[in-house]
Amino acid sequence: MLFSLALKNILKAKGRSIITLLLSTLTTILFIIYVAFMDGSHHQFIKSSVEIYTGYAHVNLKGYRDESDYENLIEDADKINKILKNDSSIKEYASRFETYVLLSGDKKAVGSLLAGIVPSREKALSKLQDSLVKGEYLSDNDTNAIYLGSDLAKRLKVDVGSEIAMVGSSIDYSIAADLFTVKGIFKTGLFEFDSQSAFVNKSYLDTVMMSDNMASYFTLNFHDNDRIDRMTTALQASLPSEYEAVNWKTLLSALVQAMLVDSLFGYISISIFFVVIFFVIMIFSYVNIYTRAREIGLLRALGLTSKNIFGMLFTEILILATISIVVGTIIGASIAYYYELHPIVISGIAETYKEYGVVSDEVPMHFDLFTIAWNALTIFMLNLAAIIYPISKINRLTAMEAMRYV
Amino acid sequence: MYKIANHLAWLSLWRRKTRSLMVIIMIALSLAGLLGLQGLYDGMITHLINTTIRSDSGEISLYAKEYRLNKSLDHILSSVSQIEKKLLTVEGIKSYSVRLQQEGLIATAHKSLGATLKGISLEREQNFGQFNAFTTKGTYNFGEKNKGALIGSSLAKKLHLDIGSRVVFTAQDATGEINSISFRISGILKTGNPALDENSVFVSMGKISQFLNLKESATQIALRVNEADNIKKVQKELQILFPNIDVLRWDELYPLLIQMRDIMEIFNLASYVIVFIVAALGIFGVILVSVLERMREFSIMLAIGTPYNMVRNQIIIEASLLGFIGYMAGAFLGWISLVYMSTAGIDLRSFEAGLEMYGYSAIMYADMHLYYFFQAFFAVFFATLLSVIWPLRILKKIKPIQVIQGKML
Repeated sequence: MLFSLALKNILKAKGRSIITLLLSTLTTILFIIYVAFMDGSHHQFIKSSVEIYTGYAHVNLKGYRDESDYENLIEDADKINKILKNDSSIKEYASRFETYVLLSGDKKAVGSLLAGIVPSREKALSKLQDSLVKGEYLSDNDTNAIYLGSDLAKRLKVDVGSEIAMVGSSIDYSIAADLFTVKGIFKTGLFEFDSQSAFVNKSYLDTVMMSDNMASYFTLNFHDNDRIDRMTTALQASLPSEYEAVNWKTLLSALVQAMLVDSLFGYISISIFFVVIFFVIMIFSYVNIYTRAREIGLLRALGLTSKNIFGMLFTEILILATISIVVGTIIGASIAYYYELHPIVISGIAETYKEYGVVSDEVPMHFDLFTIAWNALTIFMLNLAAIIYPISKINRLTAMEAMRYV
Repeated sequence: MYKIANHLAWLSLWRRKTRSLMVIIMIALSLAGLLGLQGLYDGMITHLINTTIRSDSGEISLYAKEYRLNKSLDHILSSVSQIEKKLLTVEGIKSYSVRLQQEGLIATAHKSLGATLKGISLEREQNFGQFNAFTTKGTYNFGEKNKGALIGSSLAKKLHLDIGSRVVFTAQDATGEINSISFRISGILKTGNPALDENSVFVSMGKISQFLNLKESATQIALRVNEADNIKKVQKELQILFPNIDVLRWDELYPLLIQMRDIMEIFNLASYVIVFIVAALGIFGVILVSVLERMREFSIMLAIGTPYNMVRNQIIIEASLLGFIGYMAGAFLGWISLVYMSTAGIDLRSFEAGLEMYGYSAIMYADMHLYYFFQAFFAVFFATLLSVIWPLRILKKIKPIQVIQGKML
């Protein structure tokens, strides 16, 4: 009976019902799209940082992340290599040796990261090969070939085929120097990386730096990168105690924090909108309930308890909220899904914000059912919360008071 | 006539206290939130701009032509003392700083990193941007015989350097030779400008000139201007004075900061529009019901000869009072939050690493401008006007006698 009464009331108070439906539906759509857009751009940021070079997880000597110097190198890389090879959860892995050196072209010298990589293995671990813009990518047999970031090449005023002198320090702290020929130039879009990074075949760099069977760390991808925390913990258990397995959440902790703060401000901004929506729904519900005060008084006089009245009015908002949340979620989720597959393109955004790590003009939305579900649930709860005060206020009146209400 | 309308409006407003209060609270809370956010977002951008101006660009910077495209010692400012003499003749320049820099490699006994060596005058930088205030550890000097160096905090952290640590900087000099120079760290600076904190080592002008085999040379001369309104005038004067030198304002050197400020303004404006369109709907709901409830009352007033304008004014005043009280409460709450955030700031030190990555301060301070409150007033005013349009249309269409007889509405 309460349900049919509630339904009749919804149909009778068309204005209030339409406004509540429209507001809740639009708020649901807006919230889902807003969060999908915010999460999408954050995922894009993190994904590009992880996939361009960093990788999903690292294995390094404990203390390397605090002091990434020669004192904290992996000194028996073969041992770690064997462990990683036998771990079935790992899809790809490779060792890297990183150092900072002075690279000099004919006219300019620049301090830069020089990393020894295993070129064939890096293909599946980073975007280095995919980012080639000129010349060739490195091969496992290369000796004096160097692969440079496009902005670093510009800073050094060199091109493919140019010679570059390298001065650095080998692992026994003696001077290491060599001459390299630029084999290829890459551009990942990650400005800082492109302007400060150079790569050489690791097996050759090991001979220059005297770092044979050594590595700064191993980078790796799991088969299931979505459950990275669990995977990293499992890997840690198989490593000797002096080594540690860390995933991108730790490796890029500053970036993760920055995204967290951005999300925080995003939610604060949209919460102001929620405050207004909450009050508008409450005002319309209040007005609607009080215009029916005499009717409610009559129902009470006929024997309905205040609980029954609460149930009837609550059912009304429950029906309206359910309809609007379902419709809003379907529309919002469809938009989020579409723009995840076909990202919005804002021309020039990557160039403008390159110093902030923006690598693409595409800004995708992030379609995640769990996120969409809690977004929808938030608006649903907002609707229900907005009705509590008006119902409790009308229920405070006695049947006679309600019937005499003017 | 307005006196009666005002009085009636005021009484009507408080006849239904709860719903009037709901509207007032809605306006007040949303307005306070919007004002707080606007101030905080503006404060974040202002911090970025101020830090950039104080630690690097000044209001105007002079560079040799092509240096910004090609940061090589082939494109530097020469005869610096002649330039300085000419600068003294320009009115409106408060202070200036002459800098010489070169990229290279900084190394400790255990680690090397790419870095930039910057030659500065401590005294000039102090006048220029109170550089001393950036010192977080050690002292603001270059030690005995200028053998010391100041270093950016992030770079010091990466290299595990402390006061007294020795570093070696290697770079190419003006003749193309690779040279090295050694310094002891005398101070650690945290400017809030990521480019400086992560990458810079500051040494005396004399040391760097000797190291790079240069005399009377600079890569940048940054200027502080007395009044913000004078920046363009001073720039024009300098462009005439130095036709072969790039004379650029901070906003030309860092267009991204201006874009960020513009985007923030658009975001703030869009927030006001969206929030107050919805708020107008809330005010509309209350005013509509208030009009419908009193239709007989209005009909009697009209039937006994009260002009329609007076009834209309009563409703407009009623809505305006709601809006105004909401505005006053919201502006007051917003003002309190802005005063708090602009003095005590918001402590986000638990997110320090993430914020510093983009040049934001871990303790965020809000801006507070008078125009925020004018902007908010107009937003509430338009929302109020928007909300009475439909109720007034209904009132205009009624036939008073029929309403009194109960034949209409």
